[in-house]
Formats: sequence, C-alpha cells, structure tokens
Amino acid sequence: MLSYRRSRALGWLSTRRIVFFAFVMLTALVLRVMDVNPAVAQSRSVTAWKVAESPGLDPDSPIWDEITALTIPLTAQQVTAPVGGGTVPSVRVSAAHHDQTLYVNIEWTDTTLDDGSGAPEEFADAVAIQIPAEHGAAVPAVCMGQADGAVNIWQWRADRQHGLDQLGKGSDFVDLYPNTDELFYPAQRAGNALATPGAEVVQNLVASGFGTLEPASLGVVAGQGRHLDSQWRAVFARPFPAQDDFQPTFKAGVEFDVAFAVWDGRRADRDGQKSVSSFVRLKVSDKTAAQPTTGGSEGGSSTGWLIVLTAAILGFGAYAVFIFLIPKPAPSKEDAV
Amino acid sequence: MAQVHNWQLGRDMRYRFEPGKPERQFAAVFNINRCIACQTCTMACKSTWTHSPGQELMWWNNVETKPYGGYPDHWDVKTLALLDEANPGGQVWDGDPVENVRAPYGRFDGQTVFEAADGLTQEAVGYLPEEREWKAPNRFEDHATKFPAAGVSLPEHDGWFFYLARICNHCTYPACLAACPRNAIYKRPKDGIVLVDQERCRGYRKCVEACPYKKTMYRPTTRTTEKCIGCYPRVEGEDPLTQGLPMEPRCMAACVGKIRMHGLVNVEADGTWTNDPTHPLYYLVHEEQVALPLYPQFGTQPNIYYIPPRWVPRDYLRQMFGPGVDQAIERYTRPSRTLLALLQLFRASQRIIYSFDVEEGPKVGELVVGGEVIEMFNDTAVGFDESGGEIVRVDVEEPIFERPGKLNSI
Ligand code: SF4
Ligand code: SF4
Repeated sequence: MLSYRRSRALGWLSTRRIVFFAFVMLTALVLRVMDVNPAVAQSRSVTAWKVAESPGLDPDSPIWDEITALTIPLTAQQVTAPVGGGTVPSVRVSAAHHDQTLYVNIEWTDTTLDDGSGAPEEFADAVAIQIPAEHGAAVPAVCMGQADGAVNIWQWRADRQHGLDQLGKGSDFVDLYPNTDELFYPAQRAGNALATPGAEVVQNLVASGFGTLEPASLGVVAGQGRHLDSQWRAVFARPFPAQDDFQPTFKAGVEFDVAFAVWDGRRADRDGQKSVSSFVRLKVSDKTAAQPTTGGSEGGSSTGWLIVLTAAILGFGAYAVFIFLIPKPAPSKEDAV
Repeated sequence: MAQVHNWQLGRDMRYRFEPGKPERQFAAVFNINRCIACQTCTMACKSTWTHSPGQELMWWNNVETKPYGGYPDHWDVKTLALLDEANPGGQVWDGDPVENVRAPYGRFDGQTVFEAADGLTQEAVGYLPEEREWKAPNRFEDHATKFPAAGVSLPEHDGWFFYLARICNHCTYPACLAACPRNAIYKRPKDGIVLVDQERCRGYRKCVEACPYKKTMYRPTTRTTEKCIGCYPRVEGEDPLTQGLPMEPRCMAACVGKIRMHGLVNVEADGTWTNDPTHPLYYLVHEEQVALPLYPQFGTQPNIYYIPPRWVPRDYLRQMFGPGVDQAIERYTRPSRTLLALLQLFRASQRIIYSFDVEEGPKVGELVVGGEVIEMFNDTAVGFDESGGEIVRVDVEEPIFERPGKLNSI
C-alpha cells in the first residue's frame, strides 16, 4: 500500500487522480468520437415524431432535415450460411408519422451505386426493415424470425427501382421480341413478384426462420431511394393499420422492435450475405417534435458533448465518494514497512 | 448435414441433405466418338425453351470443343483449380475399375466440391462466371491442340480435339440444390429431374456459383435462375405424338450424330443403380462400363455418362472421366456382340426405351482392330417400352437402298 501513502502525501495532485481524470475524459471522448451513446447502447430507440406535413417518399424532403437520425451499427451476418456482409458499418435512421402513415428514412454510405441485375454477376444494393409480425408477443429471433414468431420485412432494392424508372421508356427487349408473352416468363407466370414488371419498389415479405421468406400482401409498403455523394437514402412509407396477419398495426404512443439490413451489390451481397443490426426500439410518438426535433433518443452534436460532460462529472463524483466517504483500512504491519 | 453414398467415388461423402430415392432417375449416355458438333441438339433446346428475352446467353444444351472450349469459358479448368487449391496434390483416385455397383471405379481419395467448401459462405466450392464468360459458347470450336505434319494415328492422336455435348446432369447430389439458401431447387421424386421453383427463386445465384458444371443460368428479365428442365413434359408423355408414353428430351431426340441414349433407371436408396442388365443404360454403365460420368470427382454424382473419345490422350480423359477410361475405350474399341448391337439403338426412337434385347443374326464379316480380328454379326437390337411392348428394332448392318436412276428428278 505504498502508493496509498504517496497519494496521501501528494494530496489532490496525485498521479492516481490525474490518471483517473484523464481516463474518464478519454473514455467519454472515445465514445463521442465513435458516436456511441452508452445510454442508448442499452436501449436504442428511434422515435417517429408526428409531423405536420407528409414527408412523402422523397428521401430529401426538408422534413428529414428537422429530424436527427439515430446511428445504428451493423455487423456481418454470421448466424447461418451463406454468411457475409459486414462492409457497411452502420445505418442512420430517422422516422416520422403523418396522417396515420409511418415514414422511415434510412441512410447509409456506399461509394458505388449498384442498381443493376442485368448481368449474371451483378447484384443490386438494397436495404430492409424487419418488424415482428405480431406486436406485443415475445420478440422473435432477429435473424429472419422463427417458426412461432414471424417477422415482417420490407425490402427496397435498387435494381427494382431502376427497372421501374425505366418502365415505359422503351425497351430493346420488347423491340427484339415483339411477340413474346407471359408464357415465356415462367417466374412471372408462377407469380414471382420479383419477376413481375411494374410491381412495387418495396417488397412486403414475411419470414419465420431461415429460407422461409415469402411475399405478403401487395400494395402495402411504398418507398423510394436515391444515391448521392456516396450516400444511399431510402424512404419507406406504410399506413398504420395492418393489411394482413403478417404485420403489426402501428399506433401513436406505442413502441415496436425494428432491425435493419443492408446489402452492398458491388460485393455480391445477397440473401444472408448482408450487414445486419440487432433489434432496436421504434417509438411511435404521439407528440409533435419540438424544434429542433431529434429522431433518435441519441442526441446530435450538443447532446454528444453533454454526455462527455456528464460522464466527467459523474466520474469525479464517484471518485470523491471513494476518497472521502469510504473508510480506509487500518494499515497492516507490512504496509508500515 | 448427412453422409451419403456416392458410388461414382466408391465411398460415402458429406452432403447437405439426406438422400431421397426417386422412383426413377433421369439419365443418358452420350457417345463422344460419334458427335459431329452439328449443334442440332443445342438449337432443338434453344428453340423449345430459351428463345425469349433475357435468355440470350442461356444454352441449357451446349456442345464445346475440348480441350480449349468451354461454356462458360473454362468452367471445368476453373473448378478443378479451386479444388486443387483446397486440396493441393490430394485429388487422387485409389484402385482400378471393378464390377461393383457401389465402387466401379475404385475410390476417390480427394475432396468433392462439398467437402472442400467451408459450409459458411459456400455449400459447394465454386465461382460465379461473369457475363463475358457466357457470351462465346463456340469459342475455340474445332481448335486442335496442334497439327502434326506426319498426321495422327490411334491409339492416341498427337494433335487432338473432341466435342463435348453437355446438359444439366440432373445429379443425384445436386450442388445447385444444396447451395440454394431458400430451398427453391428440388429433385423430383418421380424421375430425379432437378428443377428451380420459379416462384421461390429470388435470383441469389448461389446455385450458379455452386454447380460445378455451370448448368444453372441467371435470367435478368425475371431476376431468377433457370436451368434445363429435362424436357419433363415430354418425359411425362405430354407430347401428343407419343400418345401419353414417355418421350426423350428434345436434345436427345434431335441428335443427328445418334450419340445419345436417354432413359429412366431404377435406383436404390443409397443412390446406386438397381441391377438390371436388360436396361440399356445399366448395361452401358455397369455391365460393360463403357460409359463414364463427367468429372465424377466433383461429387454431385452426375447422371449423364460419356463413352470417351478413343483418340484422346488418356491422362486428359482420366482427369475428365476418372480411372475407368482405359477399360472403357478398350471395350468400346472391340465391342462385344451385345454392345455393338445396343450401340445401334441410340437415337432409334423418340420413345424412352426401358429394356432391350439382342436377336442373333448371321456373321457378316471380319474387322481387324489393333491387330486383332473381330467377327461381325448382323444382330438385331430391339427396344421395349415400360410395359415390355416393342418400340423399335435395328440391325447392326444398316440397310442400303439404291434409288433407280430414272426416278432421280434432281
Ligand atoms: S448439373 Fe448442376 S444444375 Fe444440374 S443438377 Fe447438377 S448441380 Fe444442379
Ligand atoms: S445433335 Fe448430337 S451430334 Fe449434333 S452436336 Fe448435338 S450431340 Fe453432337
């Protein structure tokens, strides 16, 4: 216990104190730089504020500027084959609701735009939201749900959006094969929504375990994406009332679980080869956001620094309690030597 | 993960699913010695199944010139290289061909595409060919390895090439099926034909990556993968021509070179073929062992068998068809009476032959093969349908008709 004696001798400027103070500040700083909020790490949540005007499907609607996004880390999917992904570190998610419709805006970094699936080796960028199909039941496995716990998945794919944008603009294929009808598109004939021209950009799907993904009701989820300056943004919109048994009904004042997944087409991400989050809370707020609104429970820059300060003060408080209130043990013989 | 028996490898191996025993297995024998690369088979398939938007690069049946040709480019060399990388120097066979339906070519000691895979990113070792690799199915057509000034002669030509006609092998342990994370690929219990469920497929192309023969193909206009369907409506007897009786696929029935014999064989629960020497395919594959699987070491237990080309260097052929090559060429070169007769049944009828018989005929001549005298008999091969009804009969000696000059109006 020599150091103890020394610290007593050196008073408030003891090495221990300086090191401790530096440690607290450093930890807080690191958390800040890494954009990690210890409070949110325990219960991350995205708040869908009530907004006065509809943000529509425009990912760049000014309404989104008013709502601060929550950064949610993604990791490689490692649970089932084929494993993969992990190249997109996070998504920034903001949410709002207007006139009984939920809007979710997801932004992520992807330096390459991959909106084609025209070549055998081409895969499209994509993003998906997953929500337990039954609200209030036990939270299903975050990986595609389970037999007794289905999950509702909305997937936006860049190639579908690209395809829809091209519709009606003339197609080489049609000119080359004027008399081809649906008979010669077996996937289309079989009712595969992915193969149906003009179908929706966002697919509404349901899964209850690996490899069980199935289409659910059509015409339920709308969406739109755009790529600008190495950033994808995709907006999803879904009316509050459920259209079938495979999706929850949204309600202001109620919390839901949501998870996110991103596919990077350039890296041949598809299926389980994706970057995934764990479940976070989606709070559908009954409040109109105050100015400036914050989308996530995690704050923006000012909140961030507030955390640094709070952490520092708390740290010092704890240290003071340790120093002054906890009785020191009586020095033993060895200590005295 | 299950342990299954792969008789082509003479051992058990790891596969994702327990084996299911189809009532019958779609199979065929292609006699490479007869193929003239006319591509009639290719066009028969194309004009039936893959003539629509998005199928431009799709050739469920293709005929490539070996050793340089390949569709997609160098598919076999690339897969062999991946396996060699996974198991350097270890891709070897042990033993010689014997008459044993569970291990007719000895034992393969190397790794299959399944065994070499990590099971996490891939169920089977493979790669995804790029668009340009699918674009030139005829590249290197008729390219010989060299043109020796002195000419060539048997048993092995110094400069050589041969045509390899390929379709999906409707494998017993399909890599495409094992690789599909959505279980959108299935093997029909009725006839072992392997199909992609077009409703479930989401175009992930794990099957394209996994199939060592590269016989699943992506279709951008439907964002799904399509593959050879074994002309299943014909096999089911849907074609009005045969009035409900099973019929050969288009590529088989169209074959100008008469290289193809198609059929449905009976199989056992362990994937081996039920002993039946009256079945033409069983006879060729197991009795005579003249027809061999293509790259059996891949481990999918493919169901298209090849009578190897007589003039090609054996080490090349052994890599392609396994250790049975020397014996197969030997037996094909000096065929037994039954084999010679059966070879005439190839492409003699569009209807599927379930059994055959040989009626003995008179001796018609002698041939000298490799210094040995072979007697030739004008035997008659007879093909029967499933219920034993006669479909077709063919003599060893082809009948010759001479048209009288005065009727020649050309
Ligand atoms: S050849 Fe390829 S596509 Fe055909 S069954 Fe085998 S693995 Fe599947
Ligand atoms: S039709 Fe027959 S002979 Fe012609 S290329 Fe095809 S397999 Fe060869």
